[in-house]
Amino acid sequence: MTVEGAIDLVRDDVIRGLSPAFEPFSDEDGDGFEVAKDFRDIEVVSNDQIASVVWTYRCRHVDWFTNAPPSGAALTIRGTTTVDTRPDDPLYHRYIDWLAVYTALGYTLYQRQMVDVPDREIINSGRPEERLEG
Amino acid sequence: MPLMPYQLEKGPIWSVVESALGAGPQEAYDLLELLRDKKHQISDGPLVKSKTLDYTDPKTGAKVTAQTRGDHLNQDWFGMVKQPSGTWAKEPDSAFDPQTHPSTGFWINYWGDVEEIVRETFVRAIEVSLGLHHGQTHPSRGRFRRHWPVSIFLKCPTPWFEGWVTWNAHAGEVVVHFLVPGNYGSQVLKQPKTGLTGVPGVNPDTADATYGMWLVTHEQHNRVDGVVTTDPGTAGVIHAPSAGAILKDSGDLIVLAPVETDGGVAPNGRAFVP
Repeated sequence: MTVEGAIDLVRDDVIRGLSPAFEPFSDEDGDGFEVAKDFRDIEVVSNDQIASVVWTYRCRHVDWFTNAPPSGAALTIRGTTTVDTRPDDPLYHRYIDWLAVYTALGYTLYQRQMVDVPDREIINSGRPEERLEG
Repeated sequence: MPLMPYQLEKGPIWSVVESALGAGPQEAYDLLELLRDKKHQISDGPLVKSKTLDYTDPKTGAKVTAQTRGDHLNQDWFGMVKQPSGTWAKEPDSAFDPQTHPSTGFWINYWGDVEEIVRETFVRAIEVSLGLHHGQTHPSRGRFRRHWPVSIFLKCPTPWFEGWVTWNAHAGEVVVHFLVPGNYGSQVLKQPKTGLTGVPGVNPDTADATYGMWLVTHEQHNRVDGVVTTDPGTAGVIHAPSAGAILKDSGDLIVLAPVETDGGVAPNGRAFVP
């Protein structure tokens, strides 16, 4: 697999997989699918059979994505994909920052920890910065 | 705030506030006048000083007093910082930093003027209770138009802090809701029947008490693992996760009456005692 071949495979995967809900978009923050800027000046990590591409995808949310109705939001999806070309059909292992995607779409986490047995020491532990100050 | 192992609470604090607002129209009006004065810090008012809120934690031995309650209110609720002079002051907006300081007080990822929200919510609630227009003053020794009881509930979590004032003229009551973000360290029970500081009443069948607060729910809330997004897929078949945890309830449907210290109510309430 060539370096360009790996990037093309991952670009195709991202566009095909995400563009139904997130159409490519260009502005000052990005231009559709791109190799992440910190890795554009070096070759992708690869051997003859697998390669990992760190990428960004500047896009606009135009259709339903899981349970999120189209918001029109412009966002950047960030991920790393390792493509394995040993099978006849390449397999893609994708590590995508989904938390940032949902945050950009207007969702928040449920900001309480669901537990079987509450821990009073944790409940009374205070703010993170106070714990760090010790 | 108490330990709050459920998502809705009244508990000792709001029971006392209800008691104070219900003591009489003049007493409620006196509180209104205090709250209308924006120079008056809520933590300096009479409510946090109620003796019925004093207690000693049986596990740690820590004493909860008017002083500690006031400090908790200022620091954790309102995001104030104690000044070298000993007074409390709100942090300026410039102190906000999404990475290192994203919270007013102990509210997770929320920045806002909580004291003013609380103040305005109670100002409006008391005005509704007494039948006053917003900002209207009441002549001394005059008769009050009405004095509706005020109920107060707190719901947690929500993305931001807000107060709701609702009323029903047919019943002659005002209900206040505070919707608040999660606070650091807060936990909620997946097995509500266990309680935290006490075992709740299960499937109560009478409503003879003066106050009641029942939770209708399943016995067990289970977090279910969703899709593993990193499982390999063929070209274009991307495994997207759901937004947040997936919960699947199980067990019997139950009706619970949480104990007051878990956010429920005592059958006879809790009096405000200055």
